[in-house]
Amino acid sequence: MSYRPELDFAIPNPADDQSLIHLLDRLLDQGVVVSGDLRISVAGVDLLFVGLKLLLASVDTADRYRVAAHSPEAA
Amino acid sequence: MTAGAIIGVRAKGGMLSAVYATGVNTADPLLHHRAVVDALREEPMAPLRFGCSVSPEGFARHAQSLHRAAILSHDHVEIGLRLDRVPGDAHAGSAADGRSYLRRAAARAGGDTHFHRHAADAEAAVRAMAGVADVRRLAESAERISLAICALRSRAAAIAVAVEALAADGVAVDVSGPWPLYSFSLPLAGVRP
Repeated sequence: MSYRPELDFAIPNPADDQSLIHLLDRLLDQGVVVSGDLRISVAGVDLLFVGLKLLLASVDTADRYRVAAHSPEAA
Repeated sequence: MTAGAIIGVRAKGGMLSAVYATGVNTADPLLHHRAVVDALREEPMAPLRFGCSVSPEGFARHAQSLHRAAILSHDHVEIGLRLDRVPGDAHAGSAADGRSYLRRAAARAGGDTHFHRHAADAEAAVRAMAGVADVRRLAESAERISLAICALRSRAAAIAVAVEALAADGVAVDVSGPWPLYSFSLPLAGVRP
């Protein structure tokens, strides 16, 4: 078991492949689309504008997106 | 180069506000995770996944989900549960003749059925545990099912032990955490097979 009851939150050790894999499981399994138009503003003044198109996903998730994109329902 | 990113959303008095962290970027998930944990230690929030940006329209569209996760984050954590199928066809032999091949194929098919039946039972058992607020199925294949459990922090250690005990013949269990509520802040975008 990789559960750490003594910690408030698990922090993977960079030298431990397994714990990094668990983190990526949490962060990427869903498949995350980074699709720009991110505006950071303070008091109505835009400080930063980021335009990105990037897909981060596990292989399983990416495969599901691929199947969905080619299914008749997706049209 | 990105100077930082929105890593979560806080809820105060019915209003949502973005939590911004400097120094994080889209190339380092561990850095992102550390920033999320630091922010959560200051104040509860709905954490956004690594690389996930939400437009102003996205905030509005998912306000209900983000608000719920921000409230849950006061006293809930995420437990990762991975169910892996353990091949159990050793008894089918490894000979190259046709009869042995058919035995191995039958054993594999039987194993698939057994694995998915047990995984469904395990998921139902987790949902019924005291202190479990929600369970989401993140990924599913013939060999693996990945679940996220939203658990009351005060019950999380006991839940992790109970979940570990769901391992069975042909089904391995791997429990991880406690994690921020990464899998409960936004609706799941994945398409079920």
